[in-house]
Amino acid sequence: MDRDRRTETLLPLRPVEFQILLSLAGGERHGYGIIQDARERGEAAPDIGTLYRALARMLDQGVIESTDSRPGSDDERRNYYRITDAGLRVAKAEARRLDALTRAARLGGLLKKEAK
Amino acid sequence: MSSADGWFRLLLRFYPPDFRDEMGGGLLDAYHRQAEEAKKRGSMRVAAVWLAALKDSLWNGLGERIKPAVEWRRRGDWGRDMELVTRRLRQKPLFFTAVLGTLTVGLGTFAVVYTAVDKILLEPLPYRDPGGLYKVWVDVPRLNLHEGQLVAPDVYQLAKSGGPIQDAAFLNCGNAAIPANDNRDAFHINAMSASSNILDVLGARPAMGRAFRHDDGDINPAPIILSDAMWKRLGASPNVVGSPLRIGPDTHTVIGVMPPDFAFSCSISQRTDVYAALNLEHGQGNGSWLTVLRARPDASPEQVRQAVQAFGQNLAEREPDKHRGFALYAVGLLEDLVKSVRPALLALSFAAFFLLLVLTVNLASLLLARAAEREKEFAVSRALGASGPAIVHATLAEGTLLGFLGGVAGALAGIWGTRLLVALGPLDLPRRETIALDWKIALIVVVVGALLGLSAAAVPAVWSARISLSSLLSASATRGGARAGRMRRSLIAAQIALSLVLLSTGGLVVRSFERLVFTDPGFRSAGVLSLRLSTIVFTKEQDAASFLDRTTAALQAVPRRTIVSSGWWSAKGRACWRSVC
Repeated sequence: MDRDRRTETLLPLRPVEFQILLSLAGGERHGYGIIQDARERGEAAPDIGTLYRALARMLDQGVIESTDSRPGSDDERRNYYRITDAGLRVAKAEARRLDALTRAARLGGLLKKEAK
Repeated sequence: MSSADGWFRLLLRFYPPDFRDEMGGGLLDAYHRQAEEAKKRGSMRVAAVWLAALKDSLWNGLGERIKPAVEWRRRGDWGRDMELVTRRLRQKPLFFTAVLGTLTVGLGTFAVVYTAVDKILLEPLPYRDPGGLYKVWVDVPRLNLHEGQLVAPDVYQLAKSGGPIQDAAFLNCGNAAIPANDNRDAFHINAMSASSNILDVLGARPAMGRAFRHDDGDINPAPIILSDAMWKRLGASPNVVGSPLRIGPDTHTVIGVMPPDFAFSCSISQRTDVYAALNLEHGQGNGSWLTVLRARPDASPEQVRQAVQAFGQNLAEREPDKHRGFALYAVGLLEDLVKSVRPALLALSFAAFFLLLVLTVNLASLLLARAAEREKEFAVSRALGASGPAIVHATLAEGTLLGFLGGVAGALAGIWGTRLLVALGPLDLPRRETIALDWKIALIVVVVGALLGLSAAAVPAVWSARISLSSLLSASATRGGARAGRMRRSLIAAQIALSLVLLSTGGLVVRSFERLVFTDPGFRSAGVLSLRLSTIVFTKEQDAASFLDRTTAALQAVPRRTIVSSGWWSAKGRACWRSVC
């Protein structure tokens, strides 16, 4: 019950926060890795400052956490982040919210209906 | 350092230091990676990346300074310290509960004492310019009479004596009864008879209807004004003004209703239900009356006292037979009202002050013990670059937060405590009905709590700021942390000393209250029960006597009583007594 309420208080997410959770849902990433992921998905990449301010906020909220592991001889300044269980719940709730909005937009004629 | 590295490090300066500490490495890395990728596409792209980084740092760096992304950082250094302290306290629930419990009891007691002192001794009376109201008493040392009353003609003369005296009113209180009717049983009331200027002297106005006029005193039965409680008891009719009300054998006309916050009576333990005007200007009546005096706004208390004294001397000189050894003196109305409890309340305030000192030292000692537990953590923080002031700041934040929370809990406990005081306190406690903890007092308790916490944290803060890795190593090698131990021992000694003072003050308060409560009434009060009956509804004296006889006979039948005695004022003003042994 409390968990659901906490998830709801974090919604709706800012676009940059959803991009971060989406990237980290696929595995651990460093900050610039998240930007590269967004580009690969064809989305507009967030500014670096905006990304790091969001990372700081999400670390505090406990939806992501930093990890000590870094592959091989990677730059020691580089922090890696991973999604937490709470973060995964928040990301899924946000995805459901966006899905419902998209369906509503289709029904309202703002988007083309999906081909059956 | 490359020029790109220098540029990006410079841009980091736009961000606040704590954000730089936490995220600076990652930011630098990301800018470098972006610049590396741009280098492959020509120098123009590199310049574009540098400019984009400038715009980004300006926007986000200044944005982070104005509105930090992490909510608790928005509250500045204190906010960050509070967040850390909250987290630490959550990890030590037992310590937190013990401290909060102690502070709640201590600050709750302080809240109750402060409320009582403020409401009884300090808060102005609910009349217009209450500082200008005085009671006038007669002092006749040869009769050992120090609070005698004046006769009505003297009060009229005093009112007209001029100088610093603007007006004076006389009053007396008594019991009366409202007879039963179809809707209610008969009940006792407290009635005040006063000169028709009484409300003008007090500066009060009825909430409904009109105040007394000069000629109201000549009407018989006298027109009456009801108290708000009485009006509500009679059914709170909006049409009460002008309606008749039977009190005893007489039917009076209600001319007004006083506001709910108005209360004025002859004695502390009685609330007046009905006010009636009386005119004795033409010399009727030989009774003596309480006198309330209104001073002119610009008159000082000393001028008023001198004027009343001079008026008394003048009376004694004019009528030496009637006024032999007679002197008058004026006392401020509030001072007169609270004189019985003033010493006890002052002793209580003293005790409350010492209680706060004991609480402070107790909290300081607990915080020092806790700081000693974290000695290694402080030393490591210092070794990693934490400054002394930062550690002082964090320790002070811990004390302030504990004190603040204790203040909030103490204020809540105080609300309950003041209700208990009113419920259990003596009936003749002055201004009993006003004793309640309001938001202003609650705020003071919370601020006192926070300041108490802040001052208690000062000792451990200074101690923890002095810790360094080398002092920790040498202390554990040679003396085993002797400095903290010495400090704790001094605090315990101070705590014991203050507790002794507190105990002796508490003893004084108890003695003082004992003396108030167990004043020798001049007879053996043990086993004596009193019963008040009103015979005012009987118009014939023999009816009243027969009623009392029947009541006495009924009381005689009660098992284990030994003596029944009754007395009453007859309709002709004669005192009558009946005793059955």
